[in-house]
Amino acid sequence: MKVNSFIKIIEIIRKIGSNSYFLMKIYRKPSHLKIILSDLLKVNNKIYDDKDHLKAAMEWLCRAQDIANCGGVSGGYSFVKGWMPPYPETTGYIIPTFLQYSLLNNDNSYIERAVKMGDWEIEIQLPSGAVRGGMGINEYSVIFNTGQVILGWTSLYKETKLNRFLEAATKAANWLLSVQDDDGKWSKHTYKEIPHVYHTRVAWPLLNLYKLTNEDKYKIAAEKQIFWGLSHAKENAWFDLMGFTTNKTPLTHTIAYTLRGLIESSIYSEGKSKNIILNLVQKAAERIMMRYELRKKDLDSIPMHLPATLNEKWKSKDKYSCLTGNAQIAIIWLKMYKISNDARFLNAALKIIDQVKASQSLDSKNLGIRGGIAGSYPIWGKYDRFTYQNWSTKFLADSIMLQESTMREMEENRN
Amino acid sequence: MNIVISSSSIHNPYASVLIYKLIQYSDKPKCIINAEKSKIIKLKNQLRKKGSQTTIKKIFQHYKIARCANRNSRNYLKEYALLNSIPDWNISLSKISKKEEIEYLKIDNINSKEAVDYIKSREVDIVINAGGGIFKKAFVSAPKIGILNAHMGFLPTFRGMNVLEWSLFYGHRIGVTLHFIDRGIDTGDILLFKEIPIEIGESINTLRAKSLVINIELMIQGINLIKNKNETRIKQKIEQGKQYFVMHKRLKNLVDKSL
Repeated sequence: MKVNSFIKIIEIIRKIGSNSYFLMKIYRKPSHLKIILSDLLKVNNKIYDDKDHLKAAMEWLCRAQDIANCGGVSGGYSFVKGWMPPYPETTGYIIPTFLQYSLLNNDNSYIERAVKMGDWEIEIQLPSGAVRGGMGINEYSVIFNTGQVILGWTSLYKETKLNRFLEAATKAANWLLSVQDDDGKWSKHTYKEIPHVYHTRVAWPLLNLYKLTNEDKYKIAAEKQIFWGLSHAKENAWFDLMGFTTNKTPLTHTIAYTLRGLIESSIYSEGKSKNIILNLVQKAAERIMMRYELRKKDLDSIPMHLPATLNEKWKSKDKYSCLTGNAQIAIIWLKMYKISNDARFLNAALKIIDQVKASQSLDSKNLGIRGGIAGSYPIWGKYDRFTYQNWSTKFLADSIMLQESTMREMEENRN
Repeated sequence: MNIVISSSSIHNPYASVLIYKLIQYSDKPKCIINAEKSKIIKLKNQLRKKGSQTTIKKIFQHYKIARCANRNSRNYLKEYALLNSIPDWNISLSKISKKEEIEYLKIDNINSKEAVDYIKSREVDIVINAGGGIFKKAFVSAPKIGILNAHMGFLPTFRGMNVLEWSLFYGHRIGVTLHFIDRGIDTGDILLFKEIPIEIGESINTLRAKSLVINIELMIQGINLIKNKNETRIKQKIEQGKQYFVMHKRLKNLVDKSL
């Protein structure tokens, strides 16, 4: 089995770089080789205290911000390309993570860093109000990215009361409304130029803005998007169009985007529609939990990693896992535990967070690796191969913070 | 009545005590089926489940190089065995089979054709599950009456793994449910339930140890009911319960603290 895996890695490396330049890049550092070998031999890192893992993740994110040297956060560290350019979309949603960490540790330097991120986002905001797509400074605008940066700006406004953040968020939201289809979806300025159900995560920031401005138009637009999303739900709580493309099964990463958007938007709903949303999310979260918990060789062993993608029957044949999606799914489960009081969600979240933590190196000499989280496990998995992402690292930090507050709350209630 | 005991280990004190109790009640089992995996597979499973550190510790404990963590825990099974005049409660199942002239079948997999054929050819009425793994359709339908299992939780509310811990977590009464095994996870017809009283100073480990004794008592009671055709089978309503999974150690610690 190990020989087969080794042959597979060689094939993958050959595929991604048919010339020796790429091979050299991957192997040039012993730290890269160490990760490849430990994933090959399934040797996990030791799991430390949550605070250590959280601190390491936050330090990695700070490093990624410092390396970008503009206020934005580098998209990640790739074995092939090294540190990557700053990523407008993910810098946007990293802002709330920094604000929360600052509160947790009573450390204002994280607020200062978050303000720098927000200011950089304003600096590069397109004249239309939209946020630029992709990593680096590109000229095209993307719906999803715009929503994620609004999340950052609104949270900064709530924290600092600085009007420039609210103004930027309003301008961006007005652009979103101006390009929204009548039925609530977005079909232009989208990834691959197709509508996505994970745009429920764009409805959420619009609702946050509605709360700050009291402008009904944001709420109406968000509700239209949510209803359009709900119209794609199947009997088994599967949603069509959850993926980046229509011809591939969606990653747990975009499935979690969809579910998170629905959960957060449900806060602004009432009565029947709130119940419909939460019932669907609970059903979907339970399906994923069952898929995860039953993926093991013996009844009493810990589950194997959650597969990276799931199909419309909530099944998968994947032999790799999307660590980004795993951390996001943990957040969904933690939130569903709070809503439903079904502790199986909390239990599954604790286990999956342990697995993501076990993939995090706290002692690598390579600063692109130390504290960061890769897109895939093993590192050569199809999702963002050989890359440590700022967003997977952010979601691990978020999941640990939520896990700790949930556990604390539960312990207090039990005492 | 033809009874067979299934075990997943040659050393299974729970199965040993159960066999002697059945003998005392004139229900000597016809056969002991031991579906024990090879030592290499067991080591591999242990490494996968518990990691290298715990495995090494366990090996040290096995060879008495290191102290066992639960050495101070009360051994309810031993007390029960000695109280019931069962001095051989801790000997291997193969030795019991020789001593008591019970057939002994060593197989790699409980669902193998060999095991299924054996059950059918010997016209076995009941298989008592004292460990054996997950039973597949062919094995489940092989005995004339069925497979009996003692489940460490209240059915249909708590199905699956670590149900004792889950019951405690939710502040539910704890106990053992005797039920038939069907193709689902703990979804077969219920025969009996017995509550486990919780005393001051208990832990998950002591309650688990206590429940083994209750398992045996319920099993004997159930066999008697079936033998006398006095049993009442209660169909489970699946929607009244949930399937639970292995509990994370942080939640287990919380449960232990609350005891």
